Amino acid sequence: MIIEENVLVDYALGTLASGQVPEVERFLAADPAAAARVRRLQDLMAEYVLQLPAEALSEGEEDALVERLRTGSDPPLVQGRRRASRRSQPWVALGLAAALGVAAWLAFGPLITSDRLDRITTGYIEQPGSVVLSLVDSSGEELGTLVRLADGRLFVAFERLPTEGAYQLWEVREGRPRSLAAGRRRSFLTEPVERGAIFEVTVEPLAGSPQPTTEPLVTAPL
Amino acid sequence: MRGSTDEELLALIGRRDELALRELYRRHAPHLRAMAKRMTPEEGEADQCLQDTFVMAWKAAPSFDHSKASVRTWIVTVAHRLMINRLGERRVVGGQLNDPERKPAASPPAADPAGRLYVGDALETLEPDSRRLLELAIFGGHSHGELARLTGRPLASITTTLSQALSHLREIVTGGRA
Repeated sequence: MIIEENVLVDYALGTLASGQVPEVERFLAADPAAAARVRRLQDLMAEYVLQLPAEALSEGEEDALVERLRTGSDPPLVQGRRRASRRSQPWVALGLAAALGVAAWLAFGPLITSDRLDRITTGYIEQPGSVVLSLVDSSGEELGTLVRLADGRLFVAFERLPTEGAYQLWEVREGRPRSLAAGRRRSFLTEPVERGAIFEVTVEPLAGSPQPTTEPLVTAPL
Repeated sequence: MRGSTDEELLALIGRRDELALRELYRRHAPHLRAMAKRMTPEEGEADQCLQDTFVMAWKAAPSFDHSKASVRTWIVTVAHRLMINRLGERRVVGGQLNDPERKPAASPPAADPAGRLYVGDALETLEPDSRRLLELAIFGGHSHGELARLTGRPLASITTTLSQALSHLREIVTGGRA
């Protein structure tokens, strides 16, 4: 496999199309010299950014961050935290979930491991107008990838099958869930889903369920 | 806390130390905000990016792999890519660049007594065209292909110019060290 230098620079500077990232990461995993060049470029960019003239921070932002961690969906600061209530599964906002995928890119490895599913997922990601969201559960573990296509269909690829049962995908509006798809498999393509809904994934019996019977593994606004 | 390295702070954050989180935030957020403000005119977006970045740091701290990246590189990369995600379709693609005003490049800055040369000053030594391309790449989130379309220049020309700009910066920042 040959990856051109300009593609590596795009990857280092964060401007590479998301569909190309898995291939580049496989290349870097096999070529330590290229990986070292990419890291030096990223170090250089970081050095540049961290020497930009400092901008004054908005008042209260630091305290707002700490408060968010204390009381919001993220693991709290205080010792001996309570477990999240059974229904109040953490939200995974679009930007933050995407950033969790970003963290995976840089420090923890590629998002998707199956070559064939990679290719299928990449194909959907590369469609014009598609939006990609990393699906992460409440413990921070990656579950998979959601691609919202321009026509509203959702393509969902999971990292692995559930231990038992089947994944079931839900569209939730005003607290009322509607099943989008169910099955013991790693990928799904749904009908178009209008914006404004909440997307949830649960594990259900193999034949699916008319209503969710377990706590959502992931919840995300569409 | 102030004398702690970024790596020491992240280790403390991994043990849920609020003071360490605040120190890391105070240390880097002003510069990350400067980067974000160059990428979006909306204050709220820049602030949200900052918050999300440090929430990411909070989540990743317990299992951060220091062999893959330094904390400062990681935190800048996360913030930068969060902003690129936010920019999304709003990045200008296919528009026309104005010709950069032709000014002679500055001479390379002299080293300060500590022997450091600041990257920001180093950009002044780039030709305006090179500097513009580099800033469009970093702050506009444009790939080589997009820059070629924006400028109407061949991809090979963009590749050469950006490569030279980055090499020039590396020489200045590292003083010629590898």
